[in-house]
Amino acid sequence: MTLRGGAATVPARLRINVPAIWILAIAAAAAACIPLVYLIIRAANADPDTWSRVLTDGTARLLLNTAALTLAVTAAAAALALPIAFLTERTDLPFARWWRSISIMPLAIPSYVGAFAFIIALGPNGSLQDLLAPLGVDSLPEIYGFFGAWLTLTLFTFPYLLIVVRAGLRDLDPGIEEAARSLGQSAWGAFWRVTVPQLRIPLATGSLLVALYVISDFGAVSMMNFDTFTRAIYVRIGTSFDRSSIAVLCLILVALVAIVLLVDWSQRRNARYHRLGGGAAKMPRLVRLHRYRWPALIGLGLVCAVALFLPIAVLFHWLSVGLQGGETFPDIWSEALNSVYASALAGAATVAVSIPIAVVIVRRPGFLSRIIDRASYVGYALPGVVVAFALIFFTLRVTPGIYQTIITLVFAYAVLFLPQAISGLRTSLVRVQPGLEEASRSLSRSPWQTFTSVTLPLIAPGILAGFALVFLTTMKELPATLLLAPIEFDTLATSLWGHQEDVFFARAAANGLLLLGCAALPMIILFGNDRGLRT
Amino acid sequence: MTGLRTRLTRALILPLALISLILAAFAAVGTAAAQDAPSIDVRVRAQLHEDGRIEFGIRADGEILTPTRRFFPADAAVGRLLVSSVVEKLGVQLQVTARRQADGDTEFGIRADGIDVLSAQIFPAGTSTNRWLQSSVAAVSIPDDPGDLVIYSGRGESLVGALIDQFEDQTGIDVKVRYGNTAAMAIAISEEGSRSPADVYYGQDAGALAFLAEEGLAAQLPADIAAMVDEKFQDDGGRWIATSGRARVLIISPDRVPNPPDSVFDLVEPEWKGRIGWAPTNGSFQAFVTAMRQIHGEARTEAWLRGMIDNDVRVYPKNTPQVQAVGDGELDIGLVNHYYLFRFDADWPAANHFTDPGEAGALVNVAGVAMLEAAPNRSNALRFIRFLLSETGQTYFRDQTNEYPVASGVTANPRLRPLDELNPPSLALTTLSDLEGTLDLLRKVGALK
Repeated sequence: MTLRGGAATVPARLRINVPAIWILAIAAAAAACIPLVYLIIRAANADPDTWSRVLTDGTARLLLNTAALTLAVTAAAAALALPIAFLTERTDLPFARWWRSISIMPLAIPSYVGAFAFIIALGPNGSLQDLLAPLGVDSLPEIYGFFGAWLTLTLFTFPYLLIVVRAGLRDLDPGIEEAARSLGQSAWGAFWRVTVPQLRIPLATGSLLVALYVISDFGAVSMMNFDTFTRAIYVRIGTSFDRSSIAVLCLILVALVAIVLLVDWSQRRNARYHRLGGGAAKMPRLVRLHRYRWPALIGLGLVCAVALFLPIAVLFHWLSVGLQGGETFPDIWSEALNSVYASALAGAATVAVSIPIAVVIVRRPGFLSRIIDRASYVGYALPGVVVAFALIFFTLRVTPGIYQTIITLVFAYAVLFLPQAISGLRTSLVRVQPGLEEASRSLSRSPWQTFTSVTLPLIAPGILAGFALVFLTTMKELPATLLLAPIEFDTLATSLWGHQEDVFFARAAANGLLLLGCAALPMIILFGNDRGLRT
Repeated sequence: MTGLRTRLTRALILPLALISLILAAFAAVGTAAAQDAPSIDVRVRAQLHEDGRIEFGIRADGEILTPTRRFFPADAAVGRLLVSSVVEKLGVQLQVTARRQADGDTEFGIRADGIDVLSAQIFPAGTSTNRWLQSSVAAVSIPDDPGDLVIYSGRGESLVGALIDQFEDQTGIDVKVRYGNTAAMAIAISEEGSRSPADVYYGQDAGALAFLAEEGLAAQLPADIAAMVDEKFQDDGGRWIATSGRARVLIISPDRVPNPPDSVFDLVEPEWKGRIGWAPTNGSFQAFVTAMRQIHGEARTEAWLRGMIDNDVRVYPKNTPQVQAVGDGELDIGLVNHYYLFRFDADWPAANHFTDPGEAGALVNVAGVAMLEAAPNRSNALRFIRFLLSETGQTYFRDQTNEYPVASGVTANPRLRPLDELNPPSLALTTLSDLEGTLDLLRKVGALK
């Protein structure tokens, strides 16, 4: 269902300063591959029997576990994100503006905190069990294992898809849907046959973000005791200290990721998604929910209740227990400041770096731009601690002056989260008609002027989405922050982890709640303020 | 344009002038302080005991400081210089030196930060017993800038932060701590190599410390530090040393388990089916399995692991959730370290149970420190290590982190079984760093995937 109508010229290309944009894009993608180079160097030192020691009978099972969890979480996240995106963006859902902010907040809950909250609330003999006991419920289904890992990761990663899909939905030209309706499609038919296929790029990029997050997650799978490949890597780090065997394991993980990326590659054809007609796109019509209004509200409320309010309730419970015990929270405000500072820098820097990549991917499709696109995922798919080792290795050899400064830290965040920013951007960029840019160039604007005065305002939703994704993910990032931050630069996430390790639950809870608050504020400013569609 | 420039200049002059004034004032105060460099007055004090030993100490600005080793033996060899352990005052490390002279008199002196500041203070041979004598005074200047110290700590800030703050206050050293995961930080140090900014690595277990020693990254510690701790709890080559200990215990529910087993081997009995838990990915648990392999042999360990799995052992991600689960009624017996319970409320319905001291179930593992070979601030690193092993440090571990003290004669919490009754004598902690075999075994029986 691509739009190949009319007298569209053969791939309209933006003639901006070609070498510059390519150099920037290649440099950014190369930076994301630093961890891969490190792994190859370390694995090269491995003695021959390292491979046989690492590749045991369990390896295949670990890979299967990882694949199963990744697929299940991605499918479930898409099943949640698509309707929520539509409900909050295109319907007369009451308080849509608030739901828009609230529904992406689960992203700010670190997966190890969420998993811990689920175990306490939903585990055998947990709070839910206590509530249901009078009703004769003796035991709940086992939360540990696949189910718990799946539930946790689905509920705390679906907003990745949601943000990207929503940005895509917002840029969509409603004219096509209206055309479909006028040709006799029902609203439902038009949605499935026209809107969803149009959302293919956001769905694919968002799914990729979720899938690779699952592959590299450690917090949820370790709390839920489900063995995945990344967990095996962390276990090995914790027990063997053997860097070459760790590197060998990571390279196997990279191979798995390469398969995912290749599958995704074959999915993306050279489709065109931007408008070809003249004039501006209409504002889409708001869908009236009528009798579906309450089911929609209840469904949305249920998701948010489990993914957001349940962890918050557990955190508040711990906090109140601690406050009664006279607990104090000495450094919490400076930690909050550090978190917001580092995350905002990371968001801005990563979006800036991702612009050239997004531009070459969308405007200069071809083999090289695809390679750049795929390469940008390497850092994101690897466990954060391994990326940190790689950057210790490289900064101390290449630029020792910036080791353990905020520059290295922000650089690490960019390496880790580059694909998130790209995903935000490209979904917007594909909607921009190259014709507009060409018109601007023909009116003797420079490529830079064209970019700032034409392209940038048009892709603003994508920039916001990319910034939000990176900002929220950075807020909860742990392993790289622990190793690479300037010394004594504590963030809410690092000290939350410390308190939880040391069983100071009240302090951990205070950090968790403030982390949510700090994450919520920018989200409300960025997304809550826009009034959406006219009703 | 000119107008603007003038206005700008004017706007800048005033603040600049103010800043220079303030800077000048600071500089003046600084010079004044330097001229009046603070110092401590130190003297040796000594008394003869009836058994012929001479007990000595230091009087510093009126305060009496007693080194841990403070007895000059009656039969000391003539002419041999003996040095006491270190005591600290305002950041200066003081030691007493003593030498028996040929005529039977004893010559005392004081060493401050390694430099002899007082010498040839004669303690006559015929002095009457049990009477303190004092030497003449020496002034020791307090260093202006006690310098920096960088610690990589695998132990959490909530656990050791207060103790490190105390060290900072006491010495004036500017201490910077990077907190993180014990294993990840050990690997990070090996990636940093000789460029590491760290002076001290403070790790949660012996395995990580042994790794740094094997990599050649940990420096040899001086003999006075090695002498403070039992050999069992330090590296053979003196490259790391324990600072506190923790014991393996069974965490039990007193209500549901009135007669807990005295051996971990009893846990495979049908009586405990489905009631037991463990954390196979936890480092302390794996160290315990390594100890079991060494003490009881490979075959018996494998049989025990299989027996546990057949007995439907519940798997937990780490120790704390087991203590939580026992209190919640989800679990009856868990395999954990002794101190996790102390982190819960006093009325938490769970109890520690110590098993047979001859078995692996009674393993004691340690947290410890190493000074890095590349340490930029070596003397401060050593001061920190001495501080951790001092009475202050050891008392802190007993009372605040609920661990076993390992040095300075501080006795353990009376609620715990004493340390010397715990660690099976046939086991060296350093051999616990060999975890590959344990991991293979855990994977073989299916405890680890």
